[in-house]
Amino acid sequence: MINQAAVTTSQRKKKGLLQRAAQNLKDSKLLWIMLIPGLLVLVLFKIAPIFGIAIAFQNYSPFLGVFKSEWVGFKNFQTFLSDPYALTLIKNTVLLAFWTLIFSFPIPVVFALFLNEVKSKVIKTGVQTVSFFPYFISTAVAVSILISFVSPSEGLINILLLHMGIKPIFFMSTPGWFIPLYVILSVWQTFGYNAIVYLAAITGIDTTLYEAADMDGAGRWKQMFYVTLPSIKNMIVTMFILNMGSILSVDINKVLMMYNPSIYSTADVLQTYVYRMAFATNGFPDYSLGAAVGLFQSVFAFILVFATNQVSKKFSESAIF
Amino acid sequence: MFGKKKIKAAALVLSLTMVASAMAGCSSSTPSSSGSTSGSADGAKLSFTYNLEGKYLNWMKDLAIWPEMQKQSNTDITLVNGGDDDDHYYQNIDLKVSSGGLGDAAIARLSQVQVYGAQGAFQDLAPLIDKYAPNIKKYIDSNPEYKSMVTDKDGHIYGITAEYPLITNVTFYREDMFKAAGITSNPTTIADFTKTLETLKTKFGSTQGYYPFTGRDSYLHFAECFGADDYIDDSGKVHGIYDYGIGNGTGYDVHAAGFKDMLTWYNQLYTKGLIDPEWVAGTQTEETWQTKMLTGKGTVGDDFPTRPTWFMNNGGPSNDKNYSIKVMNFFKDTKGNDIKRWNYDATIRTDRYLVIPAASKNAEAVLKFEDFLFSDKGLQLMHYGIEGTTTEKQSDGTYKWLKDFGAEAVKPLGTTNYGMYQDRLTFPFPVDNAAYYDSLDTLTKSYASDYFTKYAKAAKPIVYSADQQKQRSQLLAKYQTEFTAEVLGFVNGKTAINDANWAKFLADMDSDGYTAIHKIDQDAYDAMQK
Repeated sequence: MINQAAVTTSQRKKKGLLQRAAQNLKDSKLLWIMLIPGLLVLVLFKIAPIFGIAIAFQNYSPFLGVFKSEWVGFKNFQTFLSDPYALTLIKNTVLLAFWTLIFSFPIPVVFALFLNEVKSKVIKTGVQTVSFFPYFISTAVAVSILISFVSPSEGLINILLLHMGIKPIFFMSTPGWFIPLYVILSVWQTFGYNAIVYLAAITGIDTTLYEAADMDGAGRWKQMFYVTLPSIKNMIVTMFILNMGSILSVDINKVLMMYNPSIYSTADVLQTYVYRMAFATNGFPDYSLGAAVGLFQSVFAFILVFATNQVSKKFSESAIF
Repeated sequence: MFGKKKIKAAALVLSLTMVASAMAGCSSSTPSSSGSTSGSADGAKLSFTYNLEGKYLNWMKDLAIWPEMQKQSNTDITLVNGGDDDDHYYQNIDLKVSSGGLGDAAIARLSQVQVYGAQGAFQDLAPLIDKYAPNIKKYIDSNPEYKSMVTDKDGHIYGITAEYPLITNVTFYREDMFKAAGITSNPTTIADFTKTLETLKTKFGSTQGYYPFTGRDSYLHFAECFGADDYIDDSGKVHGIYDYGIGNGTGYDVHAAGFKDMLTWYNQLYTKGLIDPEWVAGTQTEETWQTKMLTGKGTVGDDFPTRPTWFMNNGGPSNDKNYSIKVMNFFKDTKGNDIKRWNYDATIRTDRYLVIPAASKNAEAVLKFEDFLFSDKGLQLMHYGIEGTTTEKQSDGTYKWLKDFGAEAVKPLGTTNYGMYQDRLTFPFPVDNAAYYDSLDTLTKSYASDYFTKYAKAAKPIVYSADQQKQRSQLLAKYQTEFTAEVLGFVNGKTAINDANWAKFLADMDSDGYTAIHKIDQDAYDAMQK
């Protein structure tokens, strides 16, 4: 009797749920229709391509397609991971991404905090606009500007050094300078854009908190540390977790334009190596190897995001999922 | 305000439009082969579509010879932009080969021809050539090297390839700076050349950033003078990592005794400030090199044969009335014999195969047009241009050029061009070196024929199987970086050139891929001879 009652209740609940869903569908028909294009885009361009991962386990030919290409199991992963050079590449990639994260992550936060303290609206908007500009400069142009600045023969920096009696420095061909230059360029290009998220979060802070802090005698610095920063903590943590996901993803265009034989020891990263291996000028493009390394990177990134999320959940009670 | 039905209808239309827009991105924009009609009967006008790189398409539209090629062959060809630059174009081939968007004919790389041909994406041209193209058949049969580049081991021909004129780099110098430095005769050997550079450095060394020898891309030139070049000898033995003698990057014989001598020489140049360190470091851009040659921060270069003209036409004499560029003879060996240089690029190209996709219904039209280009009439048009407009045939059989090719070469896009660009036209046809040299601008023409006849040599062609090519690419990805970095260490003095370091270098190169790549090269060449 009890069991039968339980089943009936469950069935009723299920039926109720279906009825509610059907009613909802009927009531919001227009909204659902409008959702279709978005869903289609999501399915076609985001979800469906995930099945393309299969080519990492094939000797893929675009003509034969996924269904007819030869299956080779983990051969592509073995090719990459058994290469002794892979360790050097992973080290270079992680170092490059690590230093980029160390500088490009906190600078927008600090910038947003200070910009929020500017009272003149004109100056505030002006600085924000100017800081935003480099984001729209293409990587090719940005690297060209950098090369012009640091050129040993004509570059502004070396001309200044020469005036100070210092011999020209070959910045672009010194392995030790590659990471700093890459990071400086990345920060310059993105800090203004990345700060927008934090500025938006700051705008949403309840102003009464500042009034209360003011009444309690808190100055500008203390308000920044004890009101603004804690209020945008969740946003900072979220952005940090997302950034961790890209630890193995460096800007290949930037690296390709900046690197040269003199600095291979620090500038040769996973993507550039795979690009040379899989897409050599005369060879048949090895999409499968490229996909295998891409999948390896994605799995690594997922582990990092998951681990960071768990750590964050445990210590700061902020997490994405 | 609006009726409920109207809102519903508007929402529906809007949604459908958005869906259609999203789907439109997936469709191909290439005209389909079925869209063109062709006639196979004699006298009927033939037509087909042709996929090529956008940059060539723009050039071809301007060429006066292009409508003439169609007129004389009685063919109507629709050019299709397959992607603007090299990489983009060849990537598009990979995309279009599966979607059937290649039209009736396209250019492809040898590796794509091999793989996709065997998989059935391209038509086997062998029987079609027998049927429709007697001139192509005759050419293939009488040119074993060409035949080996277009025929696979089973006798299939999935594409016919374009040729490239036999040209080499030329060593050029600022004549005005030579005069100012009191250099009255050109260097004839590598040792002489070093002394010349030293004299230049003494004269102009006080100029900030002056280095007499400068350039772009790879700096390891003149490997032929040291016997360190990559080549296939007459017995079929491959020397070094084979790159058609071009040597641009990795194609050197590191185990040859001369390779060590070459690096020792470059180290000497570097230490004495005779070679541009930016060039050696690999950070020199084409623009900075050009600026240096134009502003007197460099005097000598070794580059593409039309480069002297470029400098003369792009700021040289207009900024300095004394500016003058001349080409010097190539060097002799220590016994006084002329040394020959390898071609600038392979004379049988591996990146310009004309293929006919399996879905094309116009294979006959494509092959008949191509056969025209291989015919006497077609060759005359391709080599000497339009009779009466570009050239005038003389009674002794020679041709008199009626156009100033220097002026044609600098004409802007969008204007009719009477230049002859055998190296740029993408359609395969046999190249005529003499005609090519003769159709260059005045300055280049003044030395081209003598220089290339005296010094140029063509490297033997080599074809890799798809597996060999894949292995080679993977090996080169690592070898290239290690080779470049270690060689740079010797040249810039960070690694002393002594027996111990040299033995370590050779061992490193072997373990980094030299031995394996060399074996692939030898195996590939041997397979071609069977």
